[in-house]
Amino acid sequence: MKNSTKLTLLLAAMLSVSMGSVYAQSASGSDCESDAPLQGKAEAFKSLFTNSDGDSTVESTVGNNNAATGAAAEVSPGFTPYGYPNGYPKN
Amino acid sequence: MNNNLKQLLSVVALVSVCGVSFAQSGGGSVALTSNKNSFFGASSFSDVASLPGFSLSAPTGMVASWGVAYAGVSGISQAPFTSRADGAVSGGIGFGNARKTLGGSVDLGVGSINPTDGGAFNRGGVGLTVGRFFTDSLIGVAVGVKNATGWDSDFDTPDPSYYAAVTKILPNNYAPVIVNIGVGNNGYADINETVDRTGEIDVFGSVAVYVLPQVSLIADYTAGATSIGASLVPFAKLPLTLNVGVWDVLDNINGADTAVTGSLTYAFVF
Repeated sequence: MKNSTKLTLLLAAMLSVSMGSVYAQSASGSDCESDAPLQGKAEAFKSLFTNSDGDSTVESTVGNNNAATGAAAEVSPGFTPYGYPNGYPKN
Repeated sequence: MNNNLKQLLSVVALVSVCGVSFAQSGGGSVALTSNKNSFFGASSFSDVASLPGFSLSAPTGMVASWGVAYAGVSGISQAPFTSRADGAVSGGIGFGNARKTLGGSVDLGVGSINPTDGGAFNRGGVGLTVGRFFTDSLIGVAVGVKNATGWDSDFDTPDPSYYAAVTKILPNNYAPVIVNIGVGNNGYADINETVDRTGEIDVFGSVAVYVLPQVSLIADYTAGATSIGASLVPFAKLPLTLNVGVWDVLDNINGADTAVTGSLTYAFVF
């Protein structure tokens, strides 16, 4: 099995398990509060960003996003046009 | 069935799962438990330790502040132009206060962690970003540089890539959105450019739709490549994020194959 296929299968398995976890949690509720969270969604989301002292959820989010894009940049072509960082291999 | 098709089908299946989950919650036919102490699931954005991501590759106008450090690992099924699986690690720490004065972060990225391709950790670089977040307008602005200094044992040392980005938060009661747009040179310029990209400036951007407190769907355009994916926070109380995407889904990059990407990141708030 090729490395690319192995990685694909691994990522698919990881996401499937994680999605299953979240979906099971969402679907398992029995207290029928389906409408209330929806109504407060905008306010809950906005309030994370309006705290002038900062919010740990937002700080974690920004940090995680930085880590993801930072690592992705090192494997993406953004820094390796035509296979070479500056266009030409080192002599 | 070739590898590209297999990878695309895998991601389509996974995005479909996300869609089913969104449809269930959006339609209100499934009760969402309101349990703020739940380790796994959260019914509100205020109950999660970290929101899912809002970009796959594009830099953003949201910057860190002092009090957070982060680390992550990223991988791609077929590295562009080499068609080999490869990965990278990245970590950084915030400084300043983005909401009151200026904030930012210093990052270190190390690429090529696959030892079978001629050596592990044979390239990397340091990045710096500075910016401000305006709590009234919910807009973040940032400027930054990737590879301010770096190394590469196989090729020339990478030139710095400069960028400026703006991020807008768009709360709503259905699916909050974060929009991000910016311009950058070199690594952020279109990969199909045949000239020296240090002198080329192009647009990049991303849009994330928060379908659940722990799930966002992301479209990203960076360096001429369009990517789609999903970001997931598997455990509500743990600031751990998993991103999975398809890079160059429109197959616009000459000489490179569409590929599956993934990353796993963790943030420390202190």
